[in-house]
Amino acid sequence: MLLAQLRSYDIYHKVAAEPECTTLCVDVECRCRGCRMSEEEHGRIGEDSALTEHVGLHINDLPEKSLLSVLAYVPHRELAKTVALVCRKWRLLSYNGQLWRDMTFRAEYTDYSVQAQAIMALISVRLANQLRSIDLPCEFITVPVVHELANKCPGVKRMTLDFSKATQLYDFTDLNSFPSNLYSLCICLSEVVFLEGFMRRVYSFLSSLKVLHLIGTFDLSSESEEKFEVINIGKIRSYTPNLRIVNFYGVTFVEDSHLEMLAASCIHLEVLAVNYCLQVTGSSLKHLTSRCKKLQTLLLRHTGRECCHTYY
Amino acid sequence: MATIAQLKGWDSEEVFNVDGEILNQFSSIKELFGNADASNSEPLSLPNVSAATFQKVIEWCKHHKDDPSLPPLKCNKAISEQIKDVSDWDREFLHVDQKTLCELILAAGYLGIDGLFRLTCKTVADMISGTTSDENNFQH
Repeated sequence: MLLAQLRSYDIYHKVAAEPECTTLCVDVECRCRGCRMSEEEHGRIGEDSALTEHVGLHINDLPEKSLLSVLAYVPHRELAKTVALVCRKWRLLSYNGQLWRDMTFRAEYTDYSVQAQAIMALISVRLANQLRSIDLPCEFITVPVVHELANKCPGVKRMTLDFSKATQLYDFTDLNSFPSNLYSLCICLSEVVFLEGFMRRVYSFLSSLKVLHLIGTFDLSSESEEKFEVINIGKIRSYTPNLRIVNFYGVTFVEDSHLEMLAASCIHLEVLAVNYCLQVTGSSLKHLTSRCKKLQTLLLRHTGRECCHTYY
Repeated sequence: MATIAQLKGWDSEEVFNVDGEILNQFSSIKELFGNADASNSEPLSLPNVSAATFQKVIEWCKHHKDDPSLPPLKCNKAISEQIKDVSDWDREFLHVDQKTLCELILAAGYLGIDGLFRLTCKTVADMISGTTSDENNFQH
């Protein structure tokens, strides 16, 4: 009985189903026979050295699922430039959509560099349906790329748009679609580039958003400089009624009035973090806690207020 | 701790007595054994695990029996960030030939030992990353 159950767990048939490599055939055959036989029979074969002569297990003999787990640890650059060139089997494996779910194109976080022309092909051919999360540096945030993402990648849930190095914004007047099923959006702000020209085109696609990160440009040395309100928080919040987690990190212009606006329209808020937002003094917290009953965590490190953490 | 399971590799009659602490790490087969003392029942043969590999697996499990259970892999983070630095003990443990490494992956995947599976996969991946396609071809 036990043995029968154990056999049902047998994942080995996956290997047996695709014995591509001839050197292993003896091995596979012997083991598979072994599984199907009773304990006694297996024992008898065990004594017969000719049948169980052990041919070394080779990396190609692993089940596809295990190989994919291995390749999951290989950086994208290696997948594309070396693994895919080994042989047909490895090429298919290395282009498996499972390995290309989370893409980062920001040069600081990856050594997989892509030309601006190639990114369109990459999105429509290799990423397509499988893509779950993507981050883009400002030079890739253009109308055609965003359109391609919206049309070809319905599954994309997390998106990071990094404008921190932008010097000026592209023209987005033609932008009329944007991924509409986003769960999480992270926008890295620039100190001087006003994002309204972009945001105006995408507000209406943000209603599914549950997590919003705005990463500012906090820098100890520039505390006294003039602050531009480069993104309109008042407008964002009116298009995102479902927000659960809001994180403003080092956004120099965020004030208590912004938090009050947030409290007014996002009553499902559970986590609010305003670390390193120096303009926040805490005067809005009373209003916030009375409006957002689900609020569980409030992080106020290095703000105008003195306490560090408050948990409810 | 009392033996609660008797297991053996597919290629030999050597029986391994496995106690509860170790068995708990075999997430795919632990449900087969209750808490009852099974020391006098017939040993089970593991179709994907050779005796030598099983010996290594048990050695790893003994060393890691107090590790906290691993968090599930999150899909919003690059997978390579989620494995912590490989400890010296593990590095020494995995200083084996390719064949043994592949057998360990197969065994860890089959027995459902998440920690060992991730560790061995990462090790092989590092071997792949360090080579060119020609070298990989050569290993074929």
